[in-house]
Amino acid sequence: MTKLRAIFLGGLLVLGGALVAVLYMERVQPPVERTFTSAFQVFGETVRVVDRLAGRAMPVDDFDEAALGEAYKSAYGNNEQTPTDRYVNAILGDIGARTRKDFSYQAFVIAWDVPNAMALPGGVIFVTEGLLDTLDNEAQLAAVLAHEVGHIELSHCVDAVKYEIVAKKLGVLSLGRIADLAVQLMLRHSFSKTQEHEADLYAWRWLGHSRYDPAAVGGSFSALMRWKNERGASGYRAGLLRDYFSSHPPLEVRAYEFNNRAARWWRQHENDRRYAGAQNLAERKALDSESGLPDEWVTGS
Amino acid sequence: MIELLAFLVISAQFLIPFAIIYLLIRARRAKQHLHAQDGAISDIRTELQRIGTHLGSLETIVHDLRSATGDIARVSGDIEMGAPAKRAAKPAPKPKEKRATEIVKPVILHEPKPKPVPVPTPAAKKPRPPAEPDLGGVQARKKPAKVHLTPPEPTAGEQLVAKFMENWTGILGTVVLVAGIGFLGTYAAIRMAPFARFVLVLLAAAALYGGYLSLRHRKRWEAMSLWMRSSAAAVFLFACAAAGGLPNVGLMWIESAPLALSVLLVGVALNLGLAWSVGREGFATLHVVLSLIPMAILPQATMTLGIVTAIAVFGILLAQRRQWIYHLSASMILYALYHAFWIAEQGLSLPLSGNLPAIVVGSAAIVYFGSALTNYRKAFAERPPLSIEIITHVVSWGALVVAFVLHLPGVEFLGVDILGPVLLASGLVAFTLSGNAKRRGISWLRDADVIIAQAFVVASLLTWRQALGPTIQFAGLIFIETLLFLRLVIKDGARLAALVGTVTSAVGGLLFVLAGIYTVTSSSPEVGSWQLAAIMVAGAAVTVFSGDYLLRNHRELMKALIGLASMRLVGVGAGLMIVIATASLYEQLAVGFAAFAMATGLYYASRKMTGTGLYLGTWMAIITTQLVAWFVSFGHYAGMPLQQLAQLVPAALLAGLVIRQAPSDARAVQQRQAAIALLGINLGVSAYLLMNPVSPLMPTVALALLSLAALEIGNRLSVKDFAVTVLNLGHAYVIAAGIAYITVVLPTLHYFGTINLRMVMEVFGVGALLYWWLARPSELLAGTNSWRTAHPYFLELTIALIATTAFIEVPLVWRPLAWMTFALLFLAPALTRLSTRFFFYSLLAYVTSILAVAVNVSTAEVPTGIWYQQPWNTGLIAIAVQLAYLFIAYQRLELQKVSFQPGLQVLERVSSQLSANRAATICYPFFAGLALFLAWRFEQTLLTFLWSLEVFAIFILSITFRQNHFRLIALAGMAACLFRLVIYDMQEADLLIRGLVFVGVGGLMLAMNAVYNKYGTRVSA
Repeated sequence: MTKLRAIFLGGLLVLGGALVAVLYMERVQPPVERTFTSAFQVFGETVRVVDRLAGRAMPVDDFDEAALGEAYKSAYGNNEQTPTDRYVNAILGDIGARTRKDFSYQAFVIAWDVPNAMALPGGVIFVTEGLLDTLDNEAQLAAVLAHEVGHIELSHCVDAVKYEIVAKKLGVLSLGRIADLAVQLMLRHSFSKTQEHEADLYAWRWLGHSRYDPAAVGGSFSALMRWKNERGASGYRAGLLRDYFSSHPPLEVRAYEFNNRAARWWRQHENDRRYAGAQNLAERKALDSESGLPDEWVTGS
Repeated sequence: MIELLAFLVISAQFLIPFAIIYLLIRARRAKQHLHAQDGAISDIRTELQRIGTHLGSLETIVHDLRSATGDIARVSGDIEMGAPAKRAAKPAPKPKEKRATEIVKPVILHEPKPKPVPVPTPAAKKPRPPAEPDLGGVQARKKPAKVHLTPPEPTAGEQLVAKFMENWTGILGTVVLVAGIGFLGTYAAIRMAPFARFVLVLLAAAALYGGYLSLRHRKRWEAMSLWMRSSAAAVFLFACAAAGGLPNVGLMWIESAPLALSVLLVGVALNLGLAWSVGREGFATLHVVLSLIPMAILPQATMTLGIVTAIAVFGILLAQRRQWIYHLSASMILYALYHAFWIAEQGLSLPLSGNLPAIVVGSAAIVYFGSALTNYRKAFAERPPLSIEIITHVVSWGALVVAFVLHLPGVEFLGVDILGPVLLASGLVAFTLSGNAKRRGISWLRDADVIIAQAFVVASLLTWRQALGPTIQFAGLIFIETLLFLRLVIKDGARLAALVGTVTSAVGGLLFVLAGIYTVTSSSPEVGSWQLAAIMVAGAAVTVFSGDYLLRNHRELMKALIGLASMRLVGVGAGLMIVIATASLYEQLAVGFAAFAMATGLYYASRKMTGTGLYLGTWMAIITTQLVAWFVSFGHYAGMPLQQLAQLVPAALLAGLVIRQAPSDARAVQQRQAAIALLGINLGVSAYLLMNPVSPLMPTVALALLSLAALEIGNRLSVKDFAVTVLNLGHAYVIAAGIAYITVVLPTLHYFGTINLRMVMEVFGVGALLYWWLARPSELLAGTNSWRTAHPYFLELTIALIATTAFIEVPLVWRPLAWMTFALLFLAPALTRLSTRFFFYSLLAYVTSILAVAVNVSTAEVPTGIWYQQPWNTGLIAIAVQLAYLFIAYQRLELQKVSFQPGLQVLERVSSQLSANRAATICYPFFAGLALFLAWRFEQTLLTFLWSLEVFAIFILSITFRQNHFRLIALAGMAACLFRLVIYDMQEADLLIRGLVFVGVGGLMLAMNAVYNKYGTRVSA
């Protein structure tokens, strides 16, 4: 037994020493000095599971969600579509083609210079003009849209209003809204970061099997960071409460993770070529054919 | 004529107070007389009642006697008439008994009496009310004794009146009299020439004096006569003052200032003379006070101050002659008040200029010094002092200091400010006088003078504040002076002074420390950092040696004065000084070595000088050395390894020194333990500081390795306390590594080639935690709380890290399989032999897997076409593994054996409850999970058939496991399927599907029937 323990200890020392050596050689730097958000992503998993099971226990199905989505669309979709709307919806159509929920996804571009995007139940997505101006290429826009589609496909959106839908069926709408609000206030902080990470992964996987450059996921976060930095926003500062109550993981951490994933992906797919589409985004002209613009293709080499 | 009439009328006011006093006296006497009469009447009434009671008793006795006489007469008659003797003999004892009873209780008058026989007594004629005799009887017994033996106690009101009559009537009478004179003067001012008014007032004074002469020999009027004499003197003084210095009063007839002053001085002299001769302290004080009052009314000049000073000196001399302490204090305090008034009236701003300071200070010095000197008399050697005497003495000196401090600043002599020398000289005088007091045997005076001398010297030093250099230097001198004073008084044996000296030296030390803090925190320090450090070190040395000297040579005295526990402040103070010295060098590269040197010095001093609290002070310095090293390394020298080492190495050396050199006393183990802890923290901090700039992930690995080293070292040490400290250090490393993992490693997804470095680190962490858990303690550690409390949790920590790793590194859709892998792994006999808790965690992983399958199938959408990324495919595999687990666990899951550590015993109870039905515990979660999987994965139209399949499977399990409740569940499930078949499938499914479902469900039911017919007995059995 003592010998086994000695071997075990020796193994650990070797592994530890090797790790120190690799870390020294690689000079591995974390995305931020320190953060608690990753830990909250882990700890939020349990609450997310409970919330999801509660959502499934509700008599709410895709038809209800679709009906809600149609209501949103009729409320926001009266205006005639602009070229930008059509451009964004063309990309969204590509993403929506591989979704499980049978929604007709529709995006609305809002005239607001702050870069942002959001999803509503039933396949409704809002994108600000500021986001289109901030992103570098079409692949990044596709990543953002895939992230928002991910929220809808993973039922994050409908879970946020599940009580309202049920209550509407029962004719007690206010009670449902109160219940949703209570959950938002009391629980959602604990697992919203987990949901965001899930949506990020959804976008990552979608891009991985699309024509677009997978590096666009991390690139979109980097573009948003750049926008913030240009406006003098203070850098991320870790704090237990601050991290708990933040709805999203820090952009630095998201960019770091997906840039590293992309780097690894490209190492494994050196001979592949993927589309970036900076010019497409600038001209609001979606990648609609296999060839695309020749200069917009990127490779692993 | 009118003037004379007015004079007479108003003069009558003099009589008013006397009349009031007279009337009061008369009224009091009359009241006392009436009270006495009331008492007498009451006594008479009581006596009458008592007599009445006795008469009542006599009446009863007489009545009984008469009844008896009548009976005897009747008996005699009966005998004479030939009645039987037996009858006559019977009633005879009755009267005897009755009479005996009534003699004992003579007051019972309300009993029905026999037929009344005419008796010529009042009681017989008028029967009394029943309660009255009893009350009368009590009064009769008690009241006379009370009335005649002790006079009645005067009430509080009576006492107040008595005091008023005996004391305050005179004073108030005088005041009223003076007021009357005032009114008279005012009136006369309108009607008469000033001189005439003056004469009139003098006549009033003469009249009062005449009253004194006429009454002084009558004993009852002696006090009144004295008051009349004092009143006369007061009136005379008033007239003299008003004759030349009070134009508004109307008596001013003297135009020449010298003459006016002369007249006033005559009045003052008369009063002072009276004070000198009166022989009563109260009267003497009154006349001195009266003499001072006109001085306040007159225009204030230097001459006035001089006269007042002379009056005060006279008062002090009088006090000295008669040994009147109240008179002395009144004279001194009134002079102090006048002094302030004089300054204010002069309209001068302080400090004074020209010759005034000398005059003012000189006059003050004469009075206050004279007042202080009055206490040097032999009487004090024979009796303890009164509080007022001590207060007067101290206030005299205090007033002198105030006079010096107020008036002497800026006054120079030969180009030198004289305030400091004067204060110093006063201090020397006071000290000299203390020797005088000592010779006379007046200990309190000696103590007071020594303390006063110290106050003067400190005040003198304060005046040299600017000349004595920077604040810290000045504070240092004050500190040294207080120590010298302490040395002096202790040598002299003066206990009170020694106490004061001890306290002042403590205050001096505190001021020195505060000055050090002020200097070290100042944005523009007056001295350089090294200079400040040197001063503080010198201060610490002086403090330490002083404390040691006191404890070595005057231990008993110190014990008696402040207690030996308080002497520990010496060490704390010295420690604080070293802390400040270290802080002052904060920005110096050599701060680490300097702090090491200072703390080492203090450490060795603490070994030599015990009892001075140096142990605590030394540890303050040691901890400061460590803290400064860490803060400086994290601050100024972040990212500069050599500079950081220059701080950390001395800190580590210091800890090592303590470990090696700790004395072999009771505290050695504690010291070494603390030093080991500091050394360990230094190692951890050093690892962090040196590795973090290279890669913030490296310290996590280093801390984990350090924890393993601590575990191994702790397990090998031969001293239990040291082993525990090292073990705790290992725990601290684990906690630090855990925090670093959560905050730094967790968000860092980095690939080394295609290897996920984070995952490798997690595997290493799991290995390290597992090594901790697998470690077996040495004999020394085995029974310690540290080991018994913390060690069991390393299994939970290991499993938590495994779960986190799985969550972080395994894709969502594969997590159910990961949990199942752990569930199966934890059932391995090799692990369950190590701990039965693995049974519980195996079940937990299994249930988690079931939940994960349900949730994944519900939500985990993956937008790819790859089969192994689809949740339902991986879920199906997981379900297959769960099914396999179900059979394995049925054989191996021994929840009844699970045993948890004290903190987690709730899980043990849960395990125990779950073990009651192992098959249900294992199978029901699976059944529920499978039902959800089927519901969320497949078409709703096929669901009835799929659920029927599951129900059939459950039924088969009931046969396999011989569990009847499974069969019941299966039957209930089949009923539900039939219900759904009718309610849902009949309406929603199309004809083909509906037909297939019906056929399938029906076939399954038949199969169940067949199986039951063949194997049902097994379940029943």
